Amino acid sequence: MAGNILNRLFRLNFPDCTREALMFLTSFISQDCPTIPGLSANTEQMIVEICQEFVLFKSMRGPQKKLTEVQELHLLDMICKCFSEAPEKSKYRIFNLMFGLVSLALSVRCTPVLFCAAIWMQERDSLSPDVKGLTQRLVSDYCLLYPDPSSVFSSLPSVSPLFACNFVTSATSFYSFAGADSLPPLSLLQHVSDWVYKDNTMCCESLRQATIHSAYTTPFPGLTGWCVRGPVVCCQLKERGPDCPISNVHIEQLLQCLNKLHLALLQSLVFTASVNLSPGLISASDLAHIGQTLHVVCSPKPKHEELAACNIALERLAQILQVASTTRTYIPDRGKIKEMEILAKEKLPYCRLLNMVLNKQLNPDASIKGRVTS
Amino acid sequence: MELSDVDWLVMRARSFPKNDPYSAKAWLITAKSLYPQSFVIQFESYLVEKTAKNVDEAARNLQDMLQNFPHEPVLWSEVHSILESLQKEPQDQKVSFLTDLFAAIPTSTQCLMVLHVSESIPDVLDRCQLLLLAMKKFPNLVQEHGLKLVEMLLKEETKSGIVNNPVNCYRKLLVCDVMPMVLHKGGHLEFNMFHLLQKAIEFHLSYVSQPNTHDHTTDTESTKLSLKIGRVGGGFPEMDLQVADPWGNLFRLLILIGQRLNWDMERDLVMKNKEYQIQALQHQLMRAKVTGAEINNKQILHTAMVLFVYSMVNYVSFIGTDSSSTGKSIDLTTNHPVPSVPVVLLEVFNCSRAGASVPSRSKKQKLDVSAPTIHCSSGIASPTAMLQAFELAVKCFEILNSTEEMKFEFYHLCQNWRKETQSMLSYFQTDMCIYQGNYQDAVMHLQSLTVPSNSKMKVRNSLQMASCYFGLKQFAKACEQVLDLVDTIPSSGPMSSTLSADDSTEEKGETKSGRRLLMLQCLDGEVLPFCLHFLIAGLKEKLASPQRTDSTLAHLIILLQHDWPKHESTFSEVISIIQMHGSFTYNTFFSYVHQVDILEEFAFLDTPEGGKVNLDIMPISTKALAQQRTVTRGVNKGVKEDFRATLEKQVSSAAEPADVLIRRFLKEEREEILKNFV
Repeated sequence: MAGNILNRLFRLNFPDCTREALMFLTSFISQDCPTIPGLSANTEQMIVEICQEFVLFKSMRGPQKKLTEVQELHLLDMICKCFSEAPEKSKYRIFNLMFGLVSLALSVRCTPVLFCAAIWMQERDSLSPDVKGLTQRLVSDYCLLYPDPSSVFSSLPSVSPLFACNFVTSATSFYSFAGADSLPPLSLLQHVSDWVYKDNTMCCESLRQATIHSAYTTPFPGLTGWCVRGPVVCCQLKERGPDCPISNVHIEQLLQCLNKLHLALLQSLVFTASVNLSPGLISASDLAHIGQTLHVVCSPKPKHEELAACNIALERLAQILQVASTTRTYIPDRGKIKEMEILAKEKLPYCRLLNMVLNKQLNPDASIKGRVTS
Repeated sequence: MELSDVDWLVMRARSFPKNDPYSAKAWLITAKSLYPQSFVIQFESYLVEKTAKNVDEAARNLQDMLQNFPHEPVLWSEVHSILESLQKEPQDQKVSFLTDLFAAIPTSTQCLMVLHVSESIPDVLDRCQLLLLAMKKFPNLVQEHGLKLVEMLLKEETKSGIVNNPVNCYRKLLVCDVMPMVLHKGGHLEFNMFHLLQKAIEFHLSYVSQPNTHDHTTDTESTKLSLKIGRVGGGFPEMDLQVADPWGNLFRLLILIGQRLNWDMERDLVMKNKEYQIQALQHQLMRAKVTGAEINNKQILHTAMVLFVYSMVNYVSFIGTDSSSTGKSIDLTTNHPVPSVPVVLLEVFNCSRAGASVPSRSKKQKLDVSAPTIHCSSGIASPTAMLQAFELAVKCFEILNSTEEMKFEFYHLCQNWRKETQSMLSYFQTDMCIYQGNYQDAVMHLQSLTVPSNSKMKVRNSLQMASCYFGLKQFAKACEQVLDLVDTIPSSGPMSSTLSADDSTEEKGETKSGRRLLMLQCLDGEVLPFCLHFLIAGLKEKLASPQRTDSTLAHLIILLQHDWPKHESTFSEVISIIQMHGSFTYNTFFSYVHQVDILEEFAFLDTPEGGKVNLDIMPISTKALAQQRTVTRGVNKGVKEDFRATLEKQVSSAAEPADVLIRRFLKEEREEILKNFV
């Protein structure tokens, strides 16, 4: 039966071959799988091949089939339909198959499938558990299994910027960088800081889709959180001495990546100032929330080193707030800024830059002139 | 004291270690966002990018600052240093970064930079050099600023008052650097291109004809000069006024102008080598002349003008005048060796037909139909090139004088020439007149030349003068010139006897019609035979005339000893005249006649077979002897025996060389010889 289906599919043209393939995969997973205890190696190989040939269109046999844009849309439609029509109980299994599919699509740089997956992530909400699951799978495939820089992964933004964008959003929610247990893997941080540094538009990709897909999240708040909390968390880890789960070298590398990432974020903001983007890359509320989380992370009575780290954190927060507030993609909220001011005054160490920036936010006219001349 | 916010931000940005290139930038982005009107912050971020060698970022920063802070002196001094780096050697890393930086800035801003900085430079020359430099690096600037530069230079040249000396720094910059660039790259040109071409001709002509007075080049001083060079007033560093290939440059300008005016010429002529260009221009000139359309007039005029000055100067440098390249062994403008002695163009007069060959001025044009042939002495270095230059110059000169309009333009071109160029033109015109058989004008041009008495040109001029007077049948003047000349030429070695052209006049002259001209080197070996040729020819003229005396015949005989037996036929002629006359008196005969053949002939004349001519050629006159002694037969017989004895003695005695003898004769008997022509 397995051989038959492949032979039959090869005789069909697009979109019939894909439709048939998806139907087969759905029914195979919904009905046959539970009855057969474990897929044999042969069967698994066949499933991969069907995915590759008729869903990803990266043929192992003949010449590459190139889909037109209309055909890509058709493909997307079929995949979505496949998901929606699949029986409830097998959705997860199909979904699981899709995880593998996305990982595979990434490895063969299959733009249409990555785009489909990106839209799916966006529709699904980048912070949802399903999407987190996918993210985790990808991180383990590309960042943990192969700690060496993967050329496939480093070129992800150029293959599918939207996918990269949503992937980063999801990654920041999975690895919140709020303590030792939520540190992002170094290679992930390296990739992400590199992506944003090299491509100042990447963080805006999901925002660009906002007019088509009402639901979106951006990687910006999450990445800002990394840059702000990172120095404090790293400092606390260092202070644990022998208890620290990672080496000092590793910590230094993380901090260096954060330096780069922080500049990349500012540059991305400067970039958005010159293009016409709808608001929503980051909001005052996001920043106020980051301030809160920083307060949570910080020790009640920080020592000298942590105090310095905390100052770096606050300065970064201030810098992002300042530069973001001059762009049209920032969502202001005077109440939230007030909240931040109170937090800064009462709960956090003094930071001249943050004071300067908050002051300017709250008194836009008065703040500048006096200081320039002083 | 607490720092102001701005200063504090800059201080913080500077506080990060070198291994953290990101944080400083992050701070500066924030600072810029906080204080967008602060120049200090913007300049700091420019410096950060510059230090990090980020060309694009630094360029963007610079451009932003030029837009937003156009009045900051610090910014302009930075711009100035960038522009200065453009003219340095690119080996230096810092310099090459600045050059890249400038290149990364949009053209409009580049222009702004250059213009602003150049306006701030008070010296026009410095300003022009800066603009020029920028245009060289970025040809897209030419379109906008080329014309301005041309106008600026023209204006400044006039203003500075050195316009009378075309070889000045403004003109050089204009014709050697600006014009080629503007003509090549510039857009629509509104100015009069012919006016500019005239300026270019003036410059190049003056440049190649200027006396080379300073050979001690001070390289060390002049190589350092950059923006601060070339003050007005003659004190230019020499290096600065050197032109590598002046003629090549002039041809290039002509071709570029021609292309702009859609003259019919090869598309890529400007890329070809100079020799090819000259050929092409020459053909094109002849073609344009043949079609004769009104529209071609400008093309004919200017092509002829350029080709004329080129070939004229080239020819004059071949003849090796004082004014062309004094003291140099190689002519720097034409790259051919400068002759150590001048080369002179002379007409060879065919003795028996001398009268017929002198055309009257009215008949000149007709006679010129068959152009005379020019023979070159074998000692001349590159005769073909020299003759080509001469013929081209003559052709162009004729074209330039063919219509009133061209005459006017040509006159206009010539009137501002410097003295050296004027005398070059006189030399050429002299030769051209001789070539055309127009001796009257040739004499006029020769007289206009003021030549120092010790000059090597003195000989040349006297020779030509003699040639012209001969042509005008003013033998006395011609002879006087020749005799003066012989007096001044030092004797060194034997005269040349292998003078091909001189031979040819004797051998082939009769058979071939048309005038013959000769190019000689002003060496005594070549000049003396020619002088003798003049004298012999002049005396032969007198053979048939009633003023002829025995002295005339004697003088001729003495001269005929030169290169004996070349003139044997003339000698026979003289002998038959003596025989016809029956007597011959010349008492200094034995002082100057040593040639055995001639002496034998005289011995023969004395015999009955020889006609028993009554010869009175003994140092003491036969008549006087006769008066002394009693006139008897016996005494007379004694005289006869004396004559024989003297003849025999003369034959056996060791003779001085013929040329020494003849020189002595010319010197001692100068007055007697001149009497022949009175």
